[in-house]
Amino acid sequence: MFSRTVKFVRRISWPIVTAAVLLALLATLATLQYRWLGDVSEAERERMRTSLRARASDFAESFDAELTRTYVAFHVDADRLDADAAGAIADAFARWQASTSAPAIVKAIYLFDGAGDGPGHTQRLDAEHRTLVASERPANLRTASPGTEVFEAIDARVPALVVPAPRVTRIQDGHRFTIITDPSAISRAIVIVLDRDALRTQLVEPLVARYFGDARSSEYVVSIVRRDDPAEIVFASGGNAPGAPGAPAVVDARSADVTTGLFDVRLNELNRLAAPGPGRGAAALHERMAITIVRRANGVDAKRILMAAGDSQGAWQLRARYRSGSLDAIVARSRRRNLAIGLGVLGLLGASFVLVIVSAQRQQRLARQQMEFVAAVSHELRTPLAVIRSAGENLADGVVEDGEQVKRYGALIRAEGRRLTDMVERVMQFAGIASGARAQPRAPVDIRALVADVVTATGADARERGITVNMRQHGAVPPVVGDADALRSAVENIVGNAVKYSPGGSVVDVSVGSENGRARIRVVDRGLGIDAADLPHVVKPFYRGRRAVDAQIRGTGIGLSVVRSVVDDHGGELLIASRPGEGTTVDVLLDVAH
Amino acid sequence: MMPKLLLVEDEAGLRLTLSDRLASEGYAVETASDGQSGFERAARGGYDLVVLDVMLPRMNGFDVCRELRRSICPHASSSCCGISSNIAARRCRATSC
Repeated sequence: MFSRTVKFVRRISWPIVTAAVLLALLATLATLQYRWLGDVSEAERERMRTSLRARASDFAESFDAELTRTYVAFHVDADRLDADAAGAIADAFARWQASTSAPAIVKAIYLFDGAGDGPGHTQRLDAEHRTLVASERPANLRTASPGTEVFEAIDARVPALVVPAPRVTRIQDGHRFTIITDPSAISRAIVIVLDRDALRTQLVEPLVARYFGDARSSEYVVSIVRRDDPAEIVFASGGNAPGAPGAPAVVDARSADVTTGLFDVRLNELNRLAAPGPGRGAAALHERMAITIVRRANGVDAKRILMAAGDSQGAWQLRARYRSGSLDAIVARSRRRNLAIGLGVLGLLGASFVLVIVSAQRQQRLARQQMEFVAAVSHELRTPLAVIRSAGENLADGVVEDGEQVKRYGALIRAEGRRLTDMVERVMQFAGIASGARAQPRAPVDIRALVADVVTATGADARERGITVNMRQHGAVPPVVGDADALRSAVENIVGNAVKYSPGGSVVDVSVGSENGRARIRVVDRGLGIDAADLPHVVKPFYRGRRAVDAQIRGTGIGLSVVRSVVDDHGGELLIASRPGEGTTVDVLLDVAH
Repeated sequence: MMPKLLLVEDEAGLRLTLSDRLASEGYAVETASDGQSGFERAARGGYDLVVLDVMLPRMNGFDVCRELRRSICPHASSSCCGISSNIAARRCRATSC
């Protein structure tokens, strides 16, 4: 005597572990992809911003270079100005006109002399006659007047360039000349009034086309506004004059990807002009005595500074952004798109992975069911064979000799032989259904007679187990058009199940009737019943309910699947209702012939 | 005195042929047709050997054997013997005591 303990360790399910690991990997990949796409987007944004900034600053530099050249061109020698002001300014103008690409930008040239507003202090150049004509000082230029105050090189409101022309005092000391600009004397200035429209058409638009591409096909939107009054739009890309109907939206300060200052006299541009060598306007520069630039910063502190290269000050402000939206929006969009594609691919991968697992599990379940089927069938075949063999051995060995006993053995062998035949028949039937073989030709079938036959045939088996099978008929039942053999096997299976799963001494009720123009076969037992969880599955091939297995009742799990196929084939309806422990009711509804 | 034997088998044909065979070999054979009634009769005692089918209605052969061992093992004089057509030998051993 010994006791033995069997320890049941829960087996690790490898497919689930693998699935979990793979899903975790997928999630990791998705996270990495999200992060890296973020980095790439950041770099892309930086690259695009740098490219746009380079264009904007090149544009501003070219624009300012033209202004600076103009500014420098009107520096006139103080002695010449004293001697022949009209001639000196007209010569400067002519020289400038010969060298510039945008001759229309100068609207008028004034010589301001002293702070007064009257005609005595203001003269206008008549370039054609090379004379200076006394004139009123234009109202919008009064603030730009030279006086004791230092005035600015640029007046953005007019707009105008103000070129100082100070009087100088020469002091001769032996061989040396000292030239002193006389700050106390009333200042002079040459004021060049620029034509805003010409600035736009001759300077801004060609430069925009050069640096940002043709207005219609450009991927950029460019606006230029006045820095001190951003509501005043100097230029907006799209080809229309600002404010005209259909003018493109102005890039506002918030949506601009890049802003830069322009409209200024630039120190580095002066240096370039001062350097000897080829270049428009440069030839005359080194001959001049002095260049005076006075410029206040546009900032609030009004410090006097000279503008250096890269300085983003200036009277105007250029705002540029990408046409398809702001840079952030473009980058975010492309990031979203990349992310969607990436995640889509990962999702597809995950989904196909899940499909593979599901189908593998289905295959596994099917294989297991088939194994169970084979085991069940072989057991069902072996039992009658074992009876026949042991009966045969008893007869052969002379264990039974008297006539009555021998007769019993003969009947036993016959019954078991029939059972074997039935079994084989049922398996063949199932195989036929499973392989989709067509049933026999249809003919009218008397359902009442068919059910009565089946009940009689099951009678012997039922009686042996002390089970009573009652048959009742409710009214006349019209014939059903169908395959009589198939219908018979379906009814056999249902009644056979009722008997098989009923306890000894119980009653099985079989009834036939018609209902709503359909024939109804109802079989009610008071047997084991079917668990609610098993109920939806009992018609699947090889499926056996937990209760049937627990009760060690033999079966293959194909009976009800045969019933279902036959009923489906006849366009009928199969209804199974069951209370575990109390019994099962099976209804078959079939259309009757008309 | 003939040894007394209880045959528990649900298959009527086998019950007949096996009991005839065992009787011809000199045993006094009694039969039961399901696990529950087989256990009840065996538990009352008086059998030298209980021959059990494994797949039995109401209570299977292993359970009958286990329950019998538990209730009468300490002073058992009868042995259990399992017969079945398709149960692995390993499982038979696992239930012996």
